[in-house]
Amino acid sequence: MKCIQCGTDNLLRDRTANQGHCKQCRHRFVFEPTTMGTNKITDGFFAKAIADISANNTLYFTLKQLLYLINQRLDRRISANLNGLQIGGFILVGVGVFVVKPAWFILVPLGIGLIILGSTKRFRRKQRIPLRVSASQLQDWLHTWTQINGAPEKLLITPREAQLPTVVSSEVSAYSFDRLVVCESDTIAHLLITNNFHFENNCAVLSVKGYPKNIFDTTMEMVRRNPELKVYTLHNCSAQGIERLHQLRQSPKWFLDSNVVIVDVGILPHQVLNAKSSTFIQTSPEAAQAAQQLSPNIRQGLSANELKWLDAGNYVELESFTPRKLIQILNRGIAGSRDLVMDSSDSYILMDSGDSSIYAVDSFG
Amino acid sequence: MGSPITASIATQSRQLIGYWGYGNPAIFAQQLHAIIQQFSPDEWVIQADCANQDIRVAISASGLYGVGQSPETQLADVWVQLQEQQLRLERNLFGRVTLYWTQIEQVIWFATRLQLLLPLLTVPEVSIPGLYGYSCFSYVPTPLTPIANLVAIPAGTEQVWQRHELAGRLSALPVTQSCEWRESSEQIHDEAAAIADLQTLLRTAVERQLTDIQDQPVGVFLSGGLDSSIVAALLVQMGVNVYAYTLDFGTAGTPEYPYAEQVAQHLQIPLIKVDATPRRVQQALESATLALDLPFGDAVTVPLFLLNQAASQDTAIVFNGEGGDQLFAGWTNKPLIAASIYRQEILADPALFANQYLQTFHRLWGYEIEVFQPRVYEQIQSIQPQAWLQEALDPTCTRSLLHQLRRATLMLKGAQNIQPRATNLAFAQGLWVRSPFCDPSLAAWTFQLSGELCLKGACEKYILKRAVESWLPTEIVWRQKRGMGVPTTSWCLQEWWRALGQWLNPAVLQAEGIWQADLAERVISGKLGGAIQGRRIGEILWLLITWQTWRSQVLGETVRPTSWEHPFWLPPWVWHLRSISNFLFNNNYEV
Repeated sequence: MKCIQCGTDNLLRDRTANQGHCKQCRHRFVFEPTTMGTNKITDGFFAKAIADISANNTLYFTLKQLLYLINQRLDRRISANLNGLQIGGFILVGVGVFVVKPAWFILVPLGIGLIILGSTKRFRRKQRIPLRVSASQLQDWLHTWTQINGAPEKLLITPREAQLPTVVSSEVSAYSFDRLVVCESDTIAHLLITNNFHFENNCAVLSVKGYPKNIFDTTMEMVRRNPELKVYTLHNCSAQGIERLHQLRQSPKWFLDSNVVIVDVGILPHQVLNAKSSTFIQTSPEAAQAAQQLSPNIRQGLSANELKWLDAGNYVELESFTPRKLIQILNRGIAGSRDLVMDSSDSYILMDSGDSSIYAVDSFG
Repeated sequence: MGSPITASIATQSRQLIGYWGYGNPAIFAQQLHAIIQQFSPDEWVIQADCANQDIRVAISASGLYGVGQSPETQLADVWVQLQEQQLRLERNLFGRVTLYWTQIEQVIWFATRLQLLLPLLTVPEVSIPGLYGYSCFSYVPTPLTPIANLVAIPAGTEQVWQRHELAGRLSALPVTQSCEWRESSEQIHDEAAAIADLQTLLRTAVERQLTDIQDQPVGVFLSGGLDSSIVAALLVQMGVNVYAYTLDFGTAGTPEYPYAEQVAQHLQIPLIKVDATPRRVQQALESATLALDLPFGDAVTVPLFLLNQAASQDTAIVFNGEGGDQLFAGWTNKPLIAASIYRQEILADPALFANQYLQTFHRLWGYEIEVFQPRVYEQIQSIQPQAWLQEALDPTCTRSLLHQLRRATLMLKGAQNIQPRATNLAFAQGLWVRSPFCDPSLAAWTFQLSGELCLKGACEKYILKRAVESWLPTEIVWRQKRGMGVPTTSWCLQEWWRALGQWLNPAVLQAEGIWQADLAERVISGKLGGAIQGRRIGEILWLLITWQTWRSQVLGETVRPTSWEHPFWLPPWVWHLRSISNFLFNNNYEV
C-alpha cells in the first residue's frame, strides 16, 4: 500500500513493523485493508475518492455524496471481479474446445459454470447498488482521516443559518433573476449556492423548505418581478419529489395563480427504470405510503411500471450523484435536454460537450 | 551644454513608431528605417526635428482625426508629443488604439503596434506576469504586455519622460490618469426625460462619425443583437449607404444570424453572411493572430477577422455596436448582482469582491498549480491578479454597485479587450472602425443614469431598449440576448479534434516550459475542475490555442517537435472508451 504523503510502497510486513506508519516518512496510515473484511479500503483509495467527488478540490460536496461514491467504487470493484469471472469462463470454454479428452469434459462445463455464475450475480445486481459502507462507518473513517491528514477542504459543513432576514440594499433588490431553481432539500440548495451555481447562471436558488431563510422573502420578491421567469424544480426520485411541481403551482408561498413556467428537472422513475447503469435505490415504508397518497391526477400521469416502482417504496436521492453530475443535470435541464440525466457516471465530460450553456460571452456588439 | 535629444517619429495613417532620448542619431535612424521597411515601406512619413518645434501626432481608429487637427480632439485615440524637454504618450479612455514603449539604455522607443517594437529586442522573452494575466482574463492586462520589457500605456492615462541635460539621462514621471469614469452626483430617475436625452445622444454620436461620408458605402457588423442593430438603424435613418455583415457558424450552436436577417430586412439593407465554419476559422487562425498583434483569447476573434476581411472587399469604413453592453449594463453584470444577494459580505470587502469579479472571466485563475509548469508556478506565486482590477473597481469613483460594475467593465473588458482587438482586426484589413457607443458625451451621460433605468427587474439595458423600440422590430429590442456564442467546445471535440494534437501537443508544451504537457487532455476529460463543463471547455482550449499560435506567429518562435503521445490521433469515440475503462478499473486499490 502506497503512502499518500511520500508515495513509498509499504508491504504488510513494513506496516506491521512500523506500527501502521510509513517506513519512509513515518506518515500514519488511516486504513489497514487486511483487517477490513470484504470492504478493503486503502489510504490511496480514500484520497482518490475525496479528489474525485470534489473534482480535484474545485467543488464542495456533502458527506452523503462521499458515502455514495465510496459505495459505488466498492461495487464497481465487485463488477470488475464478475467481469473477470465471465472472461475466465469464456477462456476455459475456448481452451476446452481445442484440447483432448478428458480435459475437455472438465474445462468446458467449468467455463460455462463460471459464465452462468457471473451472469446470474450480475443480473441480481442490475439497477440496485447495495450500501456496503454505512454512514456511521464513514463518519468514523473521516474522523481518523481528519486527525491524520486534515479535513477535506471542500467537505460541506451544514451552515448555521441566520434566522433574521438580511437587509438587501434597494439598489440590488430592484433587479431580478432570469430563473429560479427550487431544490428538494436545504442541503442541495446549500450545495448549489456554495458551488456558485447562482453566480454562474444568474439564478436564484431556494429550497422547498425556504432555505436560505434570511434572503428567502427578498429573493421571492425579486423573482416575481420577472414576467418571463422560468422555475426549475430539482428533486429526488420519489413520490414526494414528483409532487413538487404541483405544490409549487398550488402554494401561495410559491406560484399560486401565476402563469410562470415551471419545469421539472428532477429525477423521474422512468429514468431510473431505463438507466444504463446501476443506481442507489433505497426503500422505505414512508416512501411507499407517500406514493399511495399521491393525488389521482399525478398517478394518472405515471406509467404502470413507474407506479409499481414507487408503490414498492423505492426512491433515489439526489445526493447519490456527485456535485459535478448534479450541476450537469441542472445545466442540461435548463438548456432543455434531459438526455444525460441518468447516463452513467461523471467521467464522460468528453461526450457532454454541448455549447448549450445558458450564457455565451462572445459578442461584437 | 549637455547632449542634445535625438528624436524621430514615423507615421502612416493607422500606425506610428518613434524614439526619443540620448544616443547616436544615425544608428537610431537606421533602426527606424529598417523597421518601417519591413512594414509597408511606402506609406510612412518621418518627422525628426523636435528641437525647434513640438512634434504632435495622433492616430484614431475611426480615421476621423487627421493631420492639422488639434491632438486634443475627442476623435483621436492615441497622442504622442515630442519636445526638446519631454516626451508625452497618451491614450484615450476607450482604449481603441494601443500604444507601447520600451526603454533601451537612454532611449524610449514607442509604437502603436507591438510587432513594430519586437525587432529592437535582441531576444524577445515572454513576460511571466503578462502570461499569468492572460491566463486569468484572456487578454494581457495593461500596463503589462506578453513581452518582458515592453510596456503598454493603459487607456485613459498619460506617461511623460523628461530629460536631464547634464547627466544625459531620462526620467519617467509617474503615470497620470488623464480622464476617468465617475458616477455623477445627480442621477436621472425620470424615464421619459432619459429616453429623450438618449435618443438625441445616440443620433449625435452617429452623426459625429459621419462627417467625412458622402455617398460611399459603409459596413455594419450586425450580430443580431441590440447594439449593432441600433447603429445600423441610425445609419439608415441618416441616409447612409449601408452594407451589413453577419457570421454563420455552420450547424453547431444556436445561430444568431436569423436575427441579423430580420434587422436587415426591416431596414432594407443588404446582408452579407460570412462563412465562419470551423474549417475557415482554422484556416484563418494564423493570419488573424498576426492581425490581432496581442494574444486575445476569446473565440470570437477569428470570426471577427473573417468579418473584417469580407467587409474590406466593399468598403473602407465599418461600424459596430461595441461598447453598448459596457455602457448600459448588459447581462454580464447580472452574476455579480446575484452574488451580492447570496454573499452580501462581498459588497463590504473589496478583496472578496475582486475575487468574485475575477471569476466572471471564467478562465484559469484558481487553477494555477494544475496549469503551469513548476518553474512558472513559482514565479507567479507572488503576483496578485486582484491588483490588476484595483483601479477599475475603485469604490471611491462610484456610489452604487451598478455604476461600479459599468465602470469596471468599460475599463477592463472594454478598453483592454473588446475595443483594441476590434481596431487591430480592422486596421489589418485597411479599414477604419467606428463605434458610436464609444462617444464621450454619451458615455459621460450614462454615469448619470439611476440603476433601475439600466437593469429593471430582469431586463438589462432597459432605457436603451425604451429609447430605440420604435426604430427596430420588437423582437430584436426586447428578446433576451445572450451574446454570440462561438461553438468552440463542439468544434474542438469534433472538427478540430486532430488539430488539437498539433496545436496543444504535449511534447511542444513540455519543451516550452509554460503549460503542463497534458493540459488539453485534462481540460477535455474534466480533470481540471468541476466548473469546467460545456462551453467552458472550448473557451479554455481556445485560450491555449491562441497563446500557442501567438508565440509562433508574432513572437516568431520555432514550433518544437511534436510527439504522438497524446489522445488526439485516436478518434474521439476510442478515447471515450478509454476513459470509461480507466474510470471503471482504476480505483487505485493496492495492498
